[in-house]
Amino acid sequence: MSSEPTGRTTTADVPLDRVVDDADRVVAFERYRPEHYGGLVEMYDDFPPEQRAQGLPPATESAITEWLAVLLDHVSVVAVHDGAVVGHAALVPDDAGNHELGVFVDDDYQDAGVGSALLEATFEYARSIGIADVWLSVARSNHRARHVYDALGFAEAGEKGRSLRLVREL
Amino acid sequence: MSETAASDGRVDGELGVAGDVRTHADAHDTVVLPVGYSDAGRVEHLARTAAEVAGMMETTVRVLHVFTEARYREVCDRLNYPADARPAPEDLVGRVAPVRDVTNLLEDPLRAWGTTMDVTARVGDDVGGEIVAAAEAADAKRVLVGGRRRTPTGKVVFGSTAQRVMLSAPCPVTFVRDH
Repeated sequence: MSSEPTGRTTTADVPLDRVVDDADRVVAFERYRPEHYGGLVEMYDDFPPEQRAQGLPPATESAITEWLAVLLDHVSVVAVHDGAVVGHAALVPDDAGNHELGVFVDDDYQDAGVGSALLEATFEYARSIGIADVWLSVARSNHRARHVYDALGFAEAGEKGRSLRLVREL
Repeated sequence: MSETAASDGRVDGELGVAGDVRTHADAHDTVVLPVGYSDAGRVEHLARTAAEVAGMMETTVRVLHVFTEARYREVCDRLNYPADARPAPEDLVGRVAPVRDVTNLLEDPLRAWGTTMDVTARVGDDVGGEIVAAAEAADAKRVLVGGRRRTPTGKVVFGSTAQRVMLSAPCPVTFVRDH
């Protein structure tokens, strides 16, 4: 009847990309699916408080749940290793229809190239669905994150208080 | 009943501030509560906090609105002032919904604390600078600022006005964070 391979009802579960990170871990990047939800909440629940920036991720599980309800309504890509969610990139449209980028990487997977690869995969997917550019807000003092965005070709496009606005064409 | 403008230009009657919570002309210490359009979502929290601070410090509350030039012109036009008219900003402040809301919400807690309020307004594009100037002019004991905004992904972006006030105010500043 159907020529669709069994066990795969949509193409959503085909990884967008897969990389071997600097610690030799195979990390896959996938469009968010409801199966990822538990792993995602777990990652945010365990997020080290000192790594929270600009109020994110929220500190309590109920606030995380509320926040994810907004984020997951739009474009989300997750990084998966060994069945666990280890990274999350989200694009949320603003009032002007431009997309704001938010990205979070599990503590144990930082500085291993996972964040950059997650963003590359996210950008490629975003491009494929017609998103032409993204912006983000980063604390001026967050040099670590700014370094990553700089390497990915983001450019400064204004400031607000202690935050910088960065933009990048896809 | 007619309202008289106080010597410094305050016209509280425009906002219908009830007599028993209206600051008299000889009032002394005050805390300044700037309220702008972006505060619409936090008026209750601002009013409650301001009443508490003023009550505990035994001061009055001065509600302040800073019109940007563009907004000032817009409100003048809406009220059919001639194009070259420069009405006192206090005459327009009753048009600013969050200011009306805050003054209404202040009445009960101010009564409970046994203190009073007045309402002032200024015009200037450097909103933070105008707030600081108003605090200096009033020899304010405290300035309260709200100002946390969120981006679409939920990041907290600390408002530049709040930052300006916190760095430049002549007195301690209480930052009223959203929940």
